[in-house]
Amino acid sequence: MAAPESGDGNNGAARMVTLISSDNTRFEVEAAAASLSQTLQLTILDGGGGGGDGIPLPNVDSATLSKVLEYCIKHAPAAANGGAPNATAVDRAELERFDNEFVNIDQSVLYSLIMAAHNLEIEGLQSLVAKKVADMIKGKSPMEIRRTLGFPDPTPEEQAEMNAHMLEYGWAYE
Amino acid sequence: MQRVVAASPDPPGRTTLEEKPLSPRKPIRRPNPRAAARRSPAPRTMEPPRPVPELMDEVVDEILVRCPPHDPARLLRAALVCRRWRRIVSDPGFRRRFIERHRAPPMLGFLCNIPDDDLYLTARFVPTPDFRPRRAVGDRGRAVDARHGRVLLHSVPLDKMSFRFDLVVWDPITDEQRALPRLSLHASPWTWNAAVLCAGVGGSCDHLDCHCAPFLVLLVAVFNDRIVSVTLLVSKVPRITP
Repeated sequence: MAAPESGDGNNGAARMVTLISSDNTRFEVEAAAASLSQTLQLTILDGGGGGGDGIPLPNVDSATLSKVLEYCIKHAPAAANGGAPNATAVDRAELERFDNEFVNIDQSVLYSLIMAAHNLEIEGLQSLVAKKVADMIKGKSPMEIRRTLGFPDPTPEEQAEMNAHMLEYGWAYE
Repeated sequence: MQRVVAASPDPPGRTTLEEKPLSPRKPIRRPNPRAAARRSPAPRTMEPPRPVPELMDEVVDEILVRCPPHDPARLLRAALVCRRWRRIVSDPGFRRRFIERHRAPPMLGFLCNIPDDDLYLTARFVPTPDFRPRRAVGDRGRAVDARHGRVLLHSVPLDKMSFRFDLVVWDPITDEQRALPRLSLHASPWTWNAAVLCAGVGGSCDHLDCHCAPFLVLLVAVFNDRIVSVTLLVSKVPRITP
């Protein structure tokens, strides 16, 4: 397999941990990348996840975990530098470009991601995905938001309530 | 090596570890970000829309708190999506988080004292195109002061002849108003002024979310006989911390 491309390691022997998705796929990643997750960080600091053990993540399937780790690997070097104080504008622009492309995904993947980011407490990813959904509802009526986010059709009662509110707050629809 | 696995539609609460018969256990592999980036567009095709899991309250909160403050209509429309979302948006904790995140409040409008037919000044709230207050105008009198979301109005009596200190504190966003007790003065003042302030004591308030909290009104009047009157009105007895 190819050598790790991220991390531009100091000595090339970064500590690795193994994460196990809900469908039992094992992912080996650098501890620094996995530690972007507050939840995992504690386990990793305690020495977990190394060797043959692996950290089981029963709430995250392999497709989602792979996507989550893609984010973590990309963002780990910047996080290791304590955010972006000494990052160059080019680095930041590159991360931004990556982030924009990263959330340009199917909605169900986005949903799985937002849940995973929440469960794993990956602040940057939580923020990125939540912002994406907030952008998705821009300029949409309550009904359109419901459709966009896959809500079931409203009951007649809910519909009547929505209509009444829309009358009251007509300015928000102009 | 290549896997095209659609994201799991499983609800978030699932805690069982189950083996999927069609995806045999993979050897340890290191996700390659470039490969993944190349792969990501693939699963978008031919996926029929399917029911998505309901987002947890905390997640909805995380999404809505990121609506930009300069687009108040977006948050309002989100509040009308369903009762649960409405409850989340109406929660004081949400409001607090929203304000803390965005800090600089948006400009929703401004007040303008406009003379009426009898040349008495009356405050009008002139909203921006992105917002309408519950009631656009109220003939409540002239705006004397405004601070932290509250407006202090001096109501002009109907006969407009006698001078009275009829002061009202108005929240133009919620349209709540509180009339202050009328002050009895020994004469009409030669000049006067008044201010409305947050009652947060000793700088304890950051004024981000205090427009519903107790307030103070400070009134200074100067009379022809050179007597200066200073009056302090308190909306509710605030907790005084020494």
